[in-house]
Amino acid sequence: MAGRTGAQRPNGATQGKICQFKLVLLGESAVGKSSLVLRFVKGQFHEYQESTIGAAFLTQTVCLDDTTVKFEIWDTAGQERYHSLAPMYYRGAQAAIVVYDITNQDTFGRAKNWVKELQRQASPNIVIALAGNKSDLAQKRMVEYEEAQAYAEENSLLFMETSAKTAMNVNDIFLAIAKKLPKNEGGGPAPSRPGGVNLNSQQTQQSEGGCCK
Amino acid sequence: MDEEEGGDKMKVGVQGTSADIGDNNINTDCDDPMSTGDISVQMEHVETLNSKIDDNQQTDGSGVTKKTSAALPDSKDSKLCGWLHITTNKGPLKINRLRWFAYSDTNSRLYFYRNPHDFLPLGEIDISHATFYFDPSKTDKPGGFEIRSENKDYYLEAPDRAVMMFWLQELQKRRRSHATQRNSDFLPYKSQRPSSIGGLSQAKSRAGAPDQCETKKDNSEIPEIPTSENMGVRRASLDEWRSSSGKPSLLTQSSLKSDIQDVMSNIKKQSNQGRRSVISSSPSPSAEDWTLLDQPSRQRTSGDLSPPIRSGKIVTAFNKLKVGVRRSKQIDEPVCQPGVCFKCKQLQNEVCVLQEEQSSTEDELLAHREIIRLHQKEVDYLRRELQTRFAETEQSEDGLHQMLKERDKHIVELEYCLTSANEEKAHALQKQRMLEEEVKSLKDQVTMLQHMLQAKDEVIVKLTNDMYELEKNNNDPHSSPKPSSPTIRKSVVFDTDTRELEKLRDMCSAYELQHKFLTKEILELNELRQRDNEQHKHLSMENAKLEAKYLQTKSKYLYLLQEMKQPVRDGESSSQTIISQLLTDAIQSDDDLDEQEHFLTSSGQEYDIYGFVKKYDFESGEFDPVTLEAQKLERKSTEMSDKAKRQDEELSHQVKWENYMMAQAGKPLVRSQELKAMVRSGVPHEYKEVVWKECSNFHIGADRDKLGPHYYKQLVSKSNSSSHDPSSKQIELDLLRTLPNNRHYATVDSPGICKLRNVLLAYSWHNPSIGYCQGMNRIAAIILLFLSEEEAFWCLVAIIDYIMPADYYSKTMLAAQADQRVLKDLIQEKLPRVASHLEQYSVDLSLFTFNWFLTVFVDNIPIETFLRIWDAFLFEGSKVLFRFAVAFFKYVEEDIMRKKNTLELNHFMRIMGEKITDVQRVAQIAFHTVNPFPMRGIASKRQFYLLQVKGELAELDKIRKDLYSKHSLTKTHEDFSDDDLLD
Repeated sequence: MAGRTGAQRPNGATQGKICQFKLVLLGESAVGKSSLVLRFVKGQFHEYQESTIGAAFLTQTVCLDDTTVKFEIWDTAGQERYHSLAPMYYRGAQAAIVVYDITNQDTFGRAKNWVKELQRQASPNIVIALAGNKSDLAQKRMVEYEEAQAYAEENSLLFMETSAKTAMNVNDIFLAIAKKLPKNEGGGPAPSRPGGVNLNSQQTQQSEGGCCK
Repeated sequence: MDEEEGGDKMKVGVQGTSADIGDNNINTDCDDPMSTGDISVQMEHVETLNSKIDDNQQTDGSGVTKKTSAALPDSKDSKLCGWLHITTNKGPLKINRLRWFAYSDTNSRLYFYRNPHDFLPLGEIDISHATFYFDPSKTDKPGGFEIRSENKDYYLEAPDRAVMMFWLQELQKRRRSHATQRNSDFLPYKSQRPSSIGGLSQAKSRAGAPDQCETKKDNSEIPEIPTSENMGVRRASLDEWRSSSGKPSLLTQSSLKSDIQDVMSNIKKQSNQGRRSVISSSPSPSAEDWTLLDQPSRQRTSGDLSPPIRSGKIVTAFNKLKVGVRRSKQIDEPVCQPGVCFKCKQLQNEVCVLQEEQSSTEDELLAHREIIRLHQKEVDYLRRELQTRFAETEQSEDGLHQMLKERDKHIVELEYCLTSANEEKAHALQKQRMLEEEVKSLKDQVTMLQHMLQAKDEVIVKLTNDMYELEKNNNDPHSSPKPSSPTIRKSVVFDTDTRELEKLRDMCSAYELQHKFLTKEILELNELRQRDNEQHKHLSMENAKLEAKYLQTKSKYLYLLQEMKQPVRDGESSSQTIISQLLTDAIQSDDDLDEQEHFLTSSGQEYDIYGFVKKYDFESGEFDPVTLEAQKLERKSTEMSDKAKRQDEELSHQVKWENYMMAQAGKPLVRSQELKAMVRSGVPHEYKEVVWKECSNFHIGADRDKLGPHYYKQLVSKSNSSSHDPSSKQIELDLLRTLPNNRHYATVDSPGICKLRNVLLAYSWHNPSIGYCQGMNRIAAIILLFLSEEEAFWCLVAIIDYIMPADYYSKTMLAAQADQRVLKDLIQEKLPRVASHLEQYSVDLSLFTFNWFLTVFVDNIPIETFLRIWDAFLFEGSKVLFRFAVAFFKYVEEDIMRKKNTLELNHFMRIMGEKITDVQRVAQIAFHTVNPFPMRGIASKRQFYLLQVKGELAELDKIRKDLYSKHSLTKTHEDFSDDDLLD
């Protein structure tokens, strides 16, 4: 049932391991989290993407050299009051994309907070990527590339400026995450926190194959 | 018209007075001259019927006016004219108007005018081909009759039956006379034609001569008509008419009857005479009395023969004519004699001499001048003819032969004319016969009615006798106390008799009416049937098309199966190609199918009634076009079959609501078990506004009144004046991201956007502790689809402040989170299989159900489904949310059980809402299957989890505070504004 013919399958690897990762998108409201996901999953873009309430769940598969990586994407709501729900979504996540809007300095500050919280609260080995979205609006830029770059290096984050509208760097950032994720059997570390999601039980069943032709 | 009434004209007025009254009637009472019952018959000739008709007129109210106006320049004929009501069918309307009708003899047409002075007729009826009919049963319109002509029906109405009969008989006569006239017209026409070709002027002159003589005679004799003789004729004809038409007239007033008869007989006589004069051209004594149609004949001859030139010389020509003719005849014999001109000169000299003579005897000539003038042109013709004749004879004798041939030809033509005329005559006779039959049938009807009357009389007599007998019987025992006179009883009996009669009459007329109605009904039904047939045909054609398509699909399917069944030889190339071709076919045929869909739904819009874009390609993670197509088609088919299935149910439901709303009629909503059940089965689209409004009012109660009637407007103006607050910022961000697939919220200019902004801003000012929470935008947008802006605001207030528990949309969304745990418990309780299955694969349903609760199910759920939930939610409260959430899981229970891994399950949970298409079924589950569903249990669970979540959030908050305070030490800015503080 899951995507047999990924419209966005960047690579055409044939055989190998299948890894499944939970990825969460965090960031201020209207920075373009849903748009990034939509671009990545369906290759679409809507100027007015319906505002996310709670969270949205999507999946996408990318194929690396010998590994098929299945992303289980949780796209969260941006409004501040929904932040109290965030732990439900980033709990057990192996990857996170923290998104800010390059035309809005506040969203960058908010992103930094998210990074902090993830580093503290989420899985210890979580791969965090920082995405400076809306790079097509460079003439309205408020957050300098270098500033964000420096911050990312400082916190050992993946960093890209993306544009869901033009699709710039959208697939790349997901691919970069897929590459950085540990591909050992099981696909991810055991949950660090009590009450976290136990992924082990089903991830061993993922060897059925055939999901990626 | 007054000017015309001189000399030999006279008028018999309705009231026996002068023409002024009649004119007054026409001029002033033009709108309703019928009330005076004025029928005028204009006659050309003198009629000294004064005294007699006066007598008659005075006795009967309805007048028949005979108006004579001889000097009308353009109407030399006797005129049949008068006021009649005409009923015209203009579309669905039947317009009954009073019109001035005038019959024209020249073309046998009945023209009608707004008033007699008009020049242009409003319409015309061709009488020559018309049939007449009147309905004796129409007692309410005794004067109504029908003319059917040229496939059209004209309903005319005279003031009473007598006048109607006059009109009908008159029209019949005129039609007959016109028919004969038409036939006779052939003869003069054909005889004239050769003359115009040339060479036969003699024949023409011969034919013309008697005409002229006759005319002359007529002219001279017209003034000499003795009135007494006229009277005699009239009387005689009256008697004749009476004796000939022994038909008992329907007229009741004898005086009127006789009057009408008089008039009619006169007209009849007139027309007969006139016709005869035309046909035979033989003047008879009676024809001289009535030169009804002689005048036109004179006109005709004069028109043919007299050119406008009138010179003094030609006047004398008549005198020379005979001489000239004679001489020319003499000349005819010596054909080749030269010196014709000389003789002519001699003749002219003679003429000169005669002219001198004539001047001396001018007095005598004056008497004959008229005749001379009429003949002078003829003379010219003759002369010219003679000259040409001479020239011709000089040239060759062949001309004569030719002429002879031509004459033969002419004879043949004439014969042909004769036969055709005869045919025409036969035709006319046939027509007459038919009319006679008509009359006969009418007579039969009358006799039948008489019989009926007789039978009724008998019945009455019998009944009377019975009654008498009965009364006698009755009276016998009481004879001693009631020795009352039998006369009273008799009168009573008589009274009952008459009443009985009346009743029977009423019945009779009622039956007639019924008959009429049924006839009409049959026609109408026939038409309806025809229309239905057409529709049926159309639909069956559609059906055939669809069936063809279906069969095609089926054949493809079978073909495919067959292909699959065959063992793979030579690789799989053949089946592969077939399959791929079928696949492309399947995708292509979608376009046709879409057209079909447009056609079938007839709305064909891309939006549904709520303004949502119609979509069938739901998010399903499926990217294969064929699979997507298949899913799309499957959805369509279920939607259509559901619709078909529910049609009856929905209809009765609709009726229920209609009745309820009728009874409700603006009164505030009263909560009742009955209404609850009705709301649970859905509020029809047209009543949603009222019901939702009433529901929100019910929840808010008196609080709304406390805030005053202008509360909303105040809030809007307040929010407009001060724009900077975090809520308004977020609202602006979300406006265009609210239901983007609904056309009411599609663009910045869409009407919904402005309302949505106002409502959300107003709420953020109304309740600053909540302000704006994402999710409220969807709720407000849905409300605005049905309610006005202000009512939508109050409905939003009702939902957030009254229906939902506190802290649902607050900065922590505490209650909303707590509710998810309550739901989890309920699922565990009601659907333990599902709960353990989800548990097994570590799927947290609250991640998906949170949206449902926060947006009242406005989240990837079919519109019809969530609107049904809304109806019950607004009426009953937040418990409905749990009911439906559990019902959803029940609805897809088997689907969930089939999913065997986390990813699939998560994915299924994401699209689960879309699957809930059968509203009826899910409602059934929500309100029946999941019962018992006690609110008390939910409330206590809420209480419990509220505390639990509060504790967790406090912990989280502490961690965050810790985190950010450390962060803020190192970093410069920290606007941790409103959200994460717990109160």
